[in-house]
Amino acid sequence: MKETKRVDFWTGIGLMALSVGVWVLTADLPVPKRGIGPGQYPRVIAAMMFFLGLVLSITNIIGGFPKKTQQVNWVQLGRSIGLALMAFVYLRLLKLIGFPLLTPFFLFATIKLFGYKNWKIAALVSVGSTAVIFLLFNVVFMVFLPLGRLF
Amino acid sequence: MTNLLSGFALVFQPMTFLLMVFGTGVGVIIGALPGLTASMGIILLLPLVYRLPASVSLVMLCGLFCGGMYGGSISAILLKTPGTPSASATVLDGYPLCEQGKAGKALGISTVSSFIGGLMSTICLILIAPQLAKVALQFQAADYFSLSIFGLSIMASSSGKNVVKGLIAGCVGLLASCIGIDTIVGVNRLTFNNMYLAGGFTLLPVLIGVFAVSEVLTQVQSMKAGATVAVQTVTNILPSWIDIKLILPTALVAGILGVFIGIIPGTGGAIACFLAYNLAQKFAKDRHMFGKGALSGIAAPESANNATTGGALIPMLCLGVPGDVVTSVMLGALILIGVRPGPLLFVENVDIVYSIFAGMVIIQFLMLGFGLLSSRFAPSILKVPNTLLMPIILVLCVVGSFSLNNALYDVTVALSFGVLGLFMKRWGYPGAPLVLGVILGPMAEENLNRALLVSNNSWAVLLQRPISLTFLMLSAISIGLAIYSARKKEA
Repeated sequence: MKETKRVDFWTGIGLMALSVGVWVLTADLPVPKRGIGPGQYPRVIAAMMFFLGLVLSITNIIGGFPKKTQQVNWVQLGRSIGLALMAFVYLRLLKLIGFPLLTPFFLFATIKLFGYKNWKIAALVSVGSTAVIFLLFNVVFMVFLPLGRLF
Repeated sequence: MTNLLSGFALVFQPMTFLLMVFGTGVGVIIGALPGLTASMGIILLLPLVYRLPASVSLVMLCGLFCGGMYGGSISAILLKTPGTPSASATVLDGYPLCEQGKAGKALGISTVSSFIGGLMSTICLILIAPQLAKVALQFQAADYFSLSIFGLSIMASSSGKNVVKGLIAGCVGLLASCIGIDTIVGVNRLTFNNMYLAGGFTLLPVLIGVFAVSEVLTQVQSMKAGATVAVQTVTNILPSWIDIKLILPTALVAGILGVFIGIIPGTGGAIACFLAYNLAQKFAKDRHMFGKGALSGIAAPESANNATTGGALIPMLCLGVPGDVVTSVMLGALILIGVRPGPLLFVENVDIVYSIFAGMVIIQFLMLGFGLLSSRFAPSILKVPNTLLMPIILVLCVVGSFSLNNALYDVTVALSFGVLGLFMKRWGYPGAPLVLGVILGPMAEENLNRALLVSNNSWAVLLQRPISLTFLMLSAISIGLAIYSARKKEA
């Protein structure tokens, strides 16, 4: 718990800001004479979230923040963020290059990022699983995966 | 009885039966592989699920649920690594027995106990669920609103170490469910005039993101290059009659305990297995053997965790409130295929309900069969490295969310919720309340609106209806208890 005190404090502040944002954004929504309007319901949730954010911030600032003894493992976090970025880039390129051509490369790169050493098996698994997934979805489930615009 | 027989007739149709076998088999494999959970398995099967008739897909999902719960014990016994959190207590006596060269015996006891627990929970499901549904038919709008609050608060207070963080996750889920065109008046709400956001967040990408993508993103941090797995050879898996007689009382008591823990929303197999283990240790004749390979030490947690499956299905089917994380994913799957769980399910979709009941009975026997065969396939499956599996799962997540509407926007939503899930996990915010908020949000809003319309905008209606008041009080109690126990721990 202690090592997340700083993050929790700022998360609480962020949640309060988000709640205020929701409150403002729902101000112009119509209010019916009876029942709950489209704006009131998110406002009830925003109010709860503001309160919870406040509790989170206050409970974590009491007693001060601990000294930064534990460094964030940026290598580990970087791998996660790197994989997420790779996935977003893959998604962007999917329409252009298409699933059958792009996926083996994406899979191979991801397998390598996960630390698998044997590149021959990695390549085989990348191509093989792309083929199986493509055939399964296109033929059995009739979900037509993007073929790309290049060809 | 007639309904149950027609349920059996439906389950024994070739297609249904095959998919049930498939679901159970996949569940056992997924459960056995450390890092993969039954909820992730259900999510990966969702593209298949919503192309099948509701009863068929539900029976398959139940197979995966039960198989996944059992499968966790295989790696707990053979690798000292529980495949699922529910198998954590099985390690304590399963692995020592494996070290003594009795891996087959340990797997056999685990399989038979899982079968006993699973069968007991199925009987309870068949007996209790229809009665509870009859009671739930009396519910009115205010009661349903309070029920959603109860479901959310109990999930928030039990699924994480910090109640406030659980509640925050639930609120974020509720808020996410508000985005899009409002269903009551029909105006754009929190959409920033974005046409994609006008449709709101569809459940499937959210489920995929929070439970599957975030798991892959988390696991990439801890992967070790060239990690190899040493698995013992398994022989003589069939337990002897003497062994079965020895564990039977323990398995039966643990089964009853598991059913009741399963019924309580927000709990699950992980809690049941340790409670049953402690109970067995207190009353066992061979308590000095606990931790060194006691058969009752395997039977108790395995019977209890499998008994939670039927128990967890009771509140989900009757009230629409999931009993644990896996049933919250199942609830999402049900909604995706157009089935709204709740008391009306027992009136409008009797065939579906009874096919689940009949399916659950057959699944226990299938699980027993898969378990006893596991001596042949378990060692090979456990050798498949996660470094190869996780990237394939990520691609399946992309394809699964794309398949919903053939739209890359849904994949963007899944990846975004995956990143959110990664940071939530890192900072101790549970994912289950967020998903439950997205699921229960529209139900809560709709029923609150209805209750206020009927009562002329009087919020007191929530306190005037006894059922509603009970649920609100239970919500307060669950949050209060969670805060109290957290403070006690800190002290």
